[in-house]
Amino acid sequence: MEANRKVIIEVQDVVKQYLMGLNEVLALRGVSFKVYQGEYVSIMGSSGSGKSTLMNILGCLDKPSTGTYKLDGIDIAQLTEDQLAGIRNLKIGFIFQSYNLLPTLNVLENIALPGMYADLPREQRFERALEMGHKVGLDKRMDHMPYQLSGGQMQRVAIARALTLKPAILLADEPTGNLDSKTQEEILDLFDQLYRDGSTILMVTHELDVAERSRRMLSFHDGKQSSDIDLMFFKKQIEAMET
Amino acid sequence: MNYFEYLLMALRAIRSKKIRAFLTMLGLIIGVASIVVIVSLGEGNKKQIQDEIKKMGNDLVMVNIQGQSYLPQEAYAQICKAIPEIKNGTPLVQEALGVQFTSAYDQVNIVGIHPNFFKLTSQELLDGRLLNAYDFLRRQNVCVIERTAASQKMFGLNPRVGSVIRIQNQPFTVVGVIKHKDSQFVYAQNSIYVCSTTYRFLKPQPGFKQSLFAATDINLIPRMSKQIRTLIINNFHLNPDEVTVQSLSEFLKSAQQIVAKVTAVIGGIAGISLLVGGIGIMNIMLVSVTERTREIGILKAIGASQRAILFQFLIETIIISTMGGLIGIFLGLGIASFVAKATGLPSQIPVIPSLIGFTFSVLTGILSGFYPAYKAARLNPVDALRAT
Repeated sequence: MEANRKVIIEVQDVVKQYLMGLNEVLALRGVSFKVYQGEYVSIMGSSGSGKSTLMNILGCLDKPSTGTYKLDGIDIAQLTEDQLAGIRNLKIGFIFQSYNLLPTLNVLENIALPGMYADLPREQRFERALEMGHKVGLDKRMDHMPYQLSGGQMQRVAIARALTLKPAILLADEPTGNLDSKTQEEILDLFDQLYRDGSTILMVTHELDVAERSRRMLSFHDGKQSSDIDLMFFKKQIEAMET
Repeated sequence: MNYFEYLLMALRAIRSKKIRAFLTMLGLIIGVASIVVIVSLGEGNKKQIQDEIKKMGNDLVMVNIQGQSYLPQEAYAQICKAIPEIKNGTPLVQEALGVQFTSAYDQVNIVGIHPNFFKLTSQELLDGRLLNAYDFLRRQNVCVIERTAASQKMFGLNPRVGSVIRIQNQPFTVVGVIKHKDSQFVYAQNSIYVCSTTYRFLKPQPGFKQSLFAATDINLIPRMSKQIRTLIINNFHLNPDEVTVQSLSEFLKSAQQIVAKVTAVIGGIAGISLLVGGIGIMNIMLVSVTERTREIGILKAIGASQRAILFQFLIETIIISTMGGLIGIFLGLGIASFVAKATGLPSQIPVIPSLIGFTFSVLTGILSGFYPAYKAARLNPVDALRAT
């Protein structure tokens, strides 16, 4: 069944090493996996497992030392810095742990910002930003400044901003790390909704209960992938056992 | 790229730190304003001198003997005879002497001249007549006075044509009144003019130190100046250092050059403050890049290219320096016109210097903003995102 679906992320034998002071650190020791269109994948791992390094590579903020990474069919290793910027702009929607909104821009302008780098006309950018703001339930807060919002609301703005250019994949790096458990549930519900609407989501987390909300979980340990679990399968089994 | 959107972003960034932006601009404001003030006053001065040259009409050669030496009394006639290019001329002696009119007494500048003087320096006769060749040859005790507000004040009474005044206790009849005119030759206002032949009896002197000559043709003036100088040095055995022979336009031109040089030097010093302003901009922008490292990381993560970041920061410095330049021009024009009014110095609205100051200010902004902007553009997004 998976053979017929479009591959969004294809990582093959990716190794990443870098210098930390005088020590050479091997952050990723040969990682390979694929993410298909419409999947909701979580990457689980404790700190030091290499998941942040992997996230940077998947987000085209960094390049692998060896191995290949193809995003939506494009080989990242061949691209220049400005082409990478274009990929980040159009293909990737970033969601960060600390929201990373621009403090001088209001909600609408924050959501519309990626469109500026995509050279979208102003009206179209704001039209789309309004639409995305509606999607994440922020209709009434479009003219608020970030400091006037709660953590959950700021993360909603960040999600709307990530969605605004309809990227191939949403990359969420500990998206609920700074939120209380109630708000965490709300954000994860929103992710569920986006998943049902057809978005491809890849989420990095170190919390098992967050990872369990996804449909597929990749576990990382010490720079290597340790497991690949189809949570849908388990969920169905659990449901079957309960009934 | 949609430049207008970048402009809005930059304006917003500047507005969020107004005081800092203003302080950053201040260096440029002061620099541009002082350049505008200095150049506008300098230009005004130059224009005043030019106007004076135009007003003069006929160009004259002025001979000055410095130091202790004098030209002998007969020198004037000899020079006139020896050099055919000389159309006419006049010796010039002057000194403040005691003058009495009715019961009033004062020290007044007495000028001894040949009657040619009035024509050479285009004096305007208001009443009576000018001195003439007869007065000169017969050493008549007659004089011409200037009409100024000061002359009435000085004498208490207003001497008229026909009045008799006493110079050094010798009676002189006033034969004419001329309008006062500022000039390079006569040292004081409300001078009294007598024939140089008569002057000798008022104040015995071994000769004279100044004289004026007009040429038959204005183009002959440079040659004539040289001839006069050589003749004076050779015939009257004067040290070349003591003799200056200069045409009036030359003299004014050199005055003009001095003003221009002084303007350039002070303007250059003002230019240094522009440079300092530029360094201020660079400093603030570097601080700004460091402060906004995380923001730059975010922008890069959501797809800003290096070019976009570079442009975004550059446009901020361009706005700051443009505003600084504009404020500086208007401040400078305001100060210049105020100074001009307060001191009576002429001032010119200096269009070109303003433009130069403005352009230089913007250029300074771009140049000093480029390095910080480049630094921002080249930031590694991973490191930038990790910054706090």
